[in-house]
Amino acid sequence: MDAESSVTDYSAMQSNRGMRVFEQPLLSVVDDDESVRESLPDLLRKFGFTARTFSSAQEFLSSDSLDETKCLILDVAMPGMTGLDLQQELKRRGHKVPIIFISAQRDINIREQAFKQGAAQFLYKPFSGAALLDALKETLK
Amino acid sequence: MLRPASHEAWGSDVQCGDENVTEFPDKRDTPSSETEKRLLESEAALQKALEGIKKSENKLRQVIDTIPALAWCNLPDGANEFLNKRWHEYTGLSPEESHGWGWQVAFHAEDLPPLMKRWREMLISGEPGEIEARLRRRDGVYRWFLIRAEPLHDETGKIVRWYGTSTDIEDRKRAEEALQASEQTARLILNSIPGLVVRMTAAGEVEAVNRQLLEYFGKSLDDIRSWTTSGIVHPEDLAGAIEIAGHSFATGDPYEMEIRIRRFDGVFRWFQARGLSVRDAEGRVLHWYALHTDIDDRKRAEEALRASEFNARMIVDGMPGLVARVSPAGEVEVVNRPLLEYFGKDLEEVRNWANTDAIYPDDLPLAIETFNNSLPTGRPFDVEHRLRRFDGVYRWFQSRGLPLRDSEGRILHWYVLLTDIEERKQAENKLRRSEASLAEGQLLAKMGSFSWRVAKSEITWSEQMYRIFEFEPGVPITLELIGSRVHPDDVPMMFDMIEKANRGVGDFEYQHRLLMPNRSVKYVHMIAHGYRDKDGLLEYVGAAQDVTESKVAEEGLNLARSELAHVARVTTLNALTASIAHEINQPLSGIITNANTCLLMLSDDPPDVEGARETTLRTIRDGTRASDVIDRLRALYSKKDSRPEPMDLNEATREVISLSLSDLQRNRVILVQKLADDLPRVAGDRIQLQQVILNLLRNASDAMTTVNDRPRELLITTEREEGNRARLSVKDVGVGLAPQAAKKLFEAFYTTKDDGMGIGLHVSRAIIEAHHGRLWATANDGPGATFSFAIPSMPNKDLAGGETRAVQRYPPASAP
Repeated sequence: MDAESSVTDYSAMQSNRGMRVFEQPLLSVVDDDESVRESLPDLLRKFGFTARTFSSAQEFLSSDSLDETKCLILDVAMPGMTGLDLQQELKRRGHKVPIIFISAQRDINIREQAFKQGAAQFLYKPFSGAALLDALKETLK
Repeated sequence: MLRPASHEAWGSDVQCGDENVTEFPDKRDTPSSETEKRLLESEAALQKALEGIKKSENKLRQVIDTIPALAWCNLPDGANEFLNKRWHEYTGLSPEESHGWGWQVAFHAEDLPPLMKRWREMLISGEPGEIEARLRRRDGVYRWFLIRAEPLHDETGKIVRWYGTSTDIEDRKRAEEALQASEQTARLILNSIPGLVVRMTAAGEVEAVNRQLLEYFGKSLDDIRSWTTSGIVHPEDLAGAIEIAGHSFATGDPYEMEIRIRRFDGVFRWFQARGLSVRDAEGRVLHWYALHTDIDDRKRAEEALRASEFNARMIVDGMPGLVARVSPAGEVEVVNRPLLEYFGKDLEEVRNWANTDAIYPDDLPLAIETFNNSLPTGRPFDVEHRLRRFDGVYRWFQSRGLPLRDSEGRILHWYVLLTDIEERKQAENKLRRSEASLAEGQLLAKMGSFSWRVAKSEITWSEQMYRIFEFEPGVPITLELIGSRVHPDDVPMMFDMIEKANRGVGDFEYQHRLLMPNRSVKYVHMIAHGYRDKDGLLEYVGAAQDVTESKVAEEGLNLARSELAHVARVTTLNALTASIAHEINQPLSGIITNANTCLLMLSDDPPDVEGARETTLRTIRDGTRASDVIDRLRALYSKKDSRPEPMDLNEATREVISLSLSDLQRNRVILVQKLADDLPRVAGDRIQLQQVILNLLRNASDAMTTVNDRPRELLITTEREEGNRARLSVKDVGVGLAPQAAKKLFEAFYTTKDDGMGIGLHVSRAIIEAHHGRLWATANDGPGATFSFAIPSMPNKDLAGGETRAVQRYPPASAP
């Protein structure tokens, strides 16, 4: 299921939230946990987004989705390059893509560190669909 | 004295002489007138002549009577005709009594027969002769006389008379006898003196020897005569002897020499030979007398003495000390060779020691003073000073002098022995420095040292010990005195120490407090090592350090440590929680997302049933995953299967004790261990079992924290149990167990302690049960409780390999 990407029209949700249906902006999800990579894109499509998933930071960096991605949903604790590391790397490369962090660790220090580095939103796993949608709306307005 | 009769005898004597001696002129040839006249004249002349004759006869008579001999005249037949006056005077016999053969009565009866025999021989032979015989004096005393007789012949040669004299030879005879006796004595002396005597001619030829000499040599006189060649003088001495004797025979000078002479049995013995010459009136040498005296014993004694002197000299020269003999006045008389070699000087220079640099200048006054004090008093001296060696190096010497006295107590000599003590002196200095630096070090370290001879109750303290205890330096130290400073709470600890010492326990180590007179408290850390001295008596040597400062710091540190431990515990718990949360939140996150999606799909018009079904399946899968995470965590945090290996429970116990000793002492716990020698090895997880032991020790120690009315004694015991199990018990005198509590003890989270978690005993029991053993608690008869566990010993089949591994890991504690 690597680099699985699917585009689903979720017009009802879009219309409910007053978003333009035809735009379908691309969201990229980077998480080493398979459950997240399987479940999250379906929900995002229901919200009217196009979503692509990556199992590691390196995979994302080496993909052609960097420039198209309107928002990055990023896990913190990953083997190899962590979410915070990827944030730094993108900044270094000049990509100003907004990042919504999702973390299973309720660590206030990491959260603060992420915001200090310019994170848009920070969600603790598990999060509700509404919380995610609010975060997306806040980020992409 | 002259008797008248003798005159008549003389008259006849004259007559008898007339006929032969005197010739008268023939009267008949003379003329008458003329003749007559001439006759008258002749007669006158005759008268005159007769008178003359008469006078001459008288004179002759006087001569005969006065000569100092008895004179006589006998007839040719031997009978007496005349005896002079002296005969009569001597014998007291009258002429009548003596006449004819009457004289015989005057002779000694013994001498008469030979006298008569001889006289008859002479009468027959007509030859002159002599004989000796004893003649009786008139007082009855016989004296020896030499009797000489001479015959008078006529013209025809016929004997007409015998004339003779008897001369008194008594004195000569006596002298002769005396001489004979004296010669006899001399011979006796010669033959009995303990020496060999030789008489030689002036030229040195042997003439005579005494009996001893013949007996000594067992040879004939001829062999002795040829002594220069007959081998009776020792070959080594022969040439010298010949030379000396030859010289003396040539010059007449006496000689003296010592030579070895061979005895009859072939043994050579030393003799002193002395030769003296005997000279006549003109100084010519008549004889040599040589006396040989046996000096073999003396000679051997001399040789032994020489050998002994030689040995003594060897000893004196060979001894590792310098020796000098000094006169009572203080002059060096004799020294041994090592002394000369040490100084590199000759005896003269050594004699002048007081004025040279032989003794180090700083030491000289004391040396001279000591010497001068001892010489007049005779008191032995002993002084140390430096002496200059030949190479200029001064070395320390001990100089000891002893006087040698004669039987009356007068000092004959002083004997002085100088012993090199340089190394001892240096060692002394080193020791002094080392002692000084030790004292400094003890002062710096606030550490004192002590020794304690238990049986004799002798306690010796270093200076610093007095300082720590704040006693006057030098005060005799007793246990009572020490006890007066020990903190009352720690007195039981001190009794425990004394009890151990009396039992002869090898080493001990304590930390206890001192309560000073100003109520301040000092902490002392004491270590003692016990050993048996050469008499087998127990002596402890140890050190005690004032650790008050570090103790105060340590207590602060302990506080900090327990706080830190709490923090660590919390931190660990947080980390653990975070870790668990992370693992659980991942699948939870999936579940909630899927549920949200599913909800949205179902609310679509028409509902996306296929999508909802798919997300629901994923939700179920994630739920299962979360459950798996919980199982994994359980597996991770639950104990792993124990890996049993052969182990010595005593060893493991000792390790735990050494780790917890400091904690126990901090809690003033007196630990007593009784570890069985015959404990079987057990199969177990060493670390887990040590955790159990540690837990039991801590529980016991904690149970006694409120105990102040009795020593906080903790007894740890190991023993072999029935059924070949090893049992370990920990007994305290703490708060004990309430009967209803005993059951609950091992339940998780049960505790009797206000600040405890209660998890220890529960875990401990789990560990022991995993070892197929059991853990239990009993209340003591007295105060406190005993916790014990017992586990089975190693099965025999595993023992061999197990032993080897265990030995490699833990060397036997008994090996020194």
